[in-house]
Amino acid sequence: MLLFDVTHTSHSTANTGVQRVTRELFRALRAITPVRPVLWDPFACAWREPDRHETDLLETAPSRRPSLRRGARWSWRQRWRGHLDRIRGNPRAVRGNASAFLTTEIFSSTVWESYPHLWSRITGPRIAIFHDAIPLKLPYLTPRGTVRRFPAYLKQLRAFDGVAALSNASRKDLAGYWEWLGPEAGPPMTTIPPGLHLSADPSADSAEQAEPPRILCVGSIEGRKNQATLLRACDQLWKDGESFHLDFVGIANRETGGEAIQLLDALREQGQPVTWHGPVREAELLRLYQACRFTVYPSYYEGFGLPVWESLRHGKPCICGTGGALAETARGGGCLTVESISDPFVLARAVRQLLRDSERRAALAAEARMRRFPTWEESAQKLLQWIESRPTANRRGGSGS
Amino acid sequence: MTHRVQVYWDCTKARRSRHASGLQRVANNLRDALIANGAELTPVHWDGRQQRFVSTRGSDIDPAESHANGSGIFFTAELFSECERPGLQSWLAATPQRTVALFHDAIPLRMPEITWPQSVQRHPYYLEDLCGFQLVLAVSHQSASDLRAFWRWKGVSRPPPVQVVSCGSDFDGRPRVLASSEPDSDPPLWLCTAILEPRKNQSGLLDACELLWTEGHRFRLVLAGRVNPHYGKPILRRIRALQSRGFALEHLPAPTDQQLGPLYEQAHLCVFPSLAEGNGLPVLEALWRGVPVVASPIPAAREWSGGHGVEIVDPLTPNALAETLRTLLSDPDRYRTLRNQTAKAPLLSWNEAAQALLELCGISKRGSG
Repeated sequence: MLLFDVTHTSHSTANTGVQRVTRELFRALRAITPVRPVLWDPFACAWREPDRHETDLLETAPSRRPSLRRGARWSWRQRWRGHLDRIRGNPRAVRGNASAFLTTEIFSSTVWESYPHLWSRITGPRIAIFHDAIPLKLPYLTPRGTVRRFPAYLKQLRAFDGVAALSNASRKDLAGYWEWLGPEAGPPMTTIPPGLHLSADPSADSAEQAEPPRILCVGSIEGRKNQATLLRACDQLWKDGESFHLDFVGIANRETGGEAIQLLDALREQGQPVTWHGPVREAELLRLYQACRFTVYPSYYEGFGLPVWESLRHGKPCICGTGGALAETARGGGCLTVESISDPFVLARAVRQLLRDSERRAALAAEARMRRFPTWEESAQKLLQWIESRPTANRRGGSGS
Repeated sequence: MTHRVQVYWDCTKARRSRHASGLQRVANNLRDALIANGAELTPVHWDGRQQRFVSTRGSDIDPAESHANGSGIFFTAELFSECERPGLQSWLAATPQRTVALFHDAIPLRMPEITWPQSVQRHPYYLEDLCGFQLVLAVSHQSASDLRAFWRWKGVSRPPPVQVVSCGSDFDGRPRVLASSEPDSDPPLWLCTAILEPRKNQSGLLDACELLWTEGHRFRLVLAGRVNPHYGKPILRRIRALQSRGFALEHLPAPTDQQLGPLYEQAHLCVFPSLAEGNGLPVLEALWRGVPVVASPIPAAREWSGGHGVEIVDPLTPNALAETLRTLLSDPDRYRTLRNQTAKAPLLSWNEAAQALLELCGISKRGSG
């Protein structure tokens, strides 16, 4: 039995990178091995299994209208029930032992401090999925609360029995940080890239015939994702007479994405053809992918960059940078990589090239269709095999390292 | 012809601070020594409204405008970030002065679990903002190495040079003690000067001392330092609990340099079991006063551990600390040898440290470089 920490995701309606990985891996792992979702209830002060509402949020969020909020939310009913549980001696608390533990979340300090309660029941390895070290690499492009949490989080990951990074770049970043921290050896690491849904159908679109052409940019509106440079580049192209419609999909992070949001509003007021759809359901995202000729993912730095693969899976070329794992994600065809992604003139040149050069676009689309991406089921299978191969050696205690 | 070097001294936080933290002591000592070395020092502070440094004395001096020939130095020993001082990076890029920052340590990143959360949050920004300076002076080789390695990990493409400026050891104007007789305080006094907080590891010291007191050893322990308002209270409670059991233990909150001087005169030993330090000023100050030191392997202690009056111990093992202290209590010859060794430590005064700083900045004494 694998205990799967869903503390944050079972209380979040957002479906950005961390939540996507949590929901998809949970679903895929459950299909191949006994998995028990668990969460830390701060009101009951106990680890327990999710209730009906929490399970619902864990399983059905992608098909719902996503929330504009990124954080976890506990209803008054859940809080009240937690307090009551505590008074009654926590009848819903996790009981019995499990053979392994997995967290895919960036656990909070509260959850970390509660791990010893749960880990005492784990007879096998305790595994963490690692996304990226961006908050320390690029603090000015990260919300301050996340920056504050990260030094401890990266250090606490050393207490696990194994860490699976989503990319080789992320793995190298974490190993490098641990090396910087000191001589204490970290646990074994591996790379397990995320998977993709098979729902995409590259043959079922007519974007090449639609006028004006549409360009899609998927990702949270935030400083690191660098939508501001894309907007400046497109503004220049519109002024130069290029005709295209720009679509943005993603939740807003107003702390670091303020510049992009202001630019977006200003361009809309000027009547430029740009639409920000906010966070959308899976079905709507599929429609937008089908409607676009290509996508742009102008992020400075990524732990993986799943929207790049999603774009290629839909047969759409992607213009992207090379920071962090992006070079690795783009490798294999279908992408037009831009080294100087912070330069609007360079980015505008790349966008213009794909707008005008249908042969280049078609060649990249052909490359994209040739690529073979793992499914979430394959990623889960690979992860499970790695978990099962881990010795239970790293028993350095639950907290305070 | 030479002229006095102009130093614009950042005192944005210092002018409001009431505490003499290690950072503050280093900064104050350097400042006074630079003045003694002939530097013309102008205190400046960050004006958030104007987004520039202004003279703290009220005169209309702007380091970005005056001394346009760039012969002056803008110097900061403070912790800062662009978040706290919006516009700082632009100002640093525009000022004609040589911009120099003193780097203390990366402890908030290395030990976030025992660091004030605001400091943990500031540090990633601070380490990035240091790249905007033309020169960074680290207080120890360890600190310099930490900073360079962190920048490498971050992928900083053109980091500024990082040089090491050794700290001075004199702190109250008194000359170095080179041949000290053993103090006559009875029972022997052991001194630990540090803010009461988990990083300084007074808990480990108290564990070791409790063991020794319980065994019947006679000594008096003085913990000199203010209490960290966030993390220090459990240590204070432990001190009170041990005091209530009759053990010879005192806490001297926030001692001044004038109070510390007589304590060093009476001290047989300084104990500094800190878990992490950028350098470790109390080690240097104790050696300056001829007092031997038992310390964890922090940079200052490692530097002087080879026959210079410092015994290194594992700070995480109270039994090991107790064993070293027990030996020094019960073996007068070994203690005497250690005490005599303090005279051999090649310590710098702050005056010499300031001269070294000016040279590292490319400025010789009383002249521009």
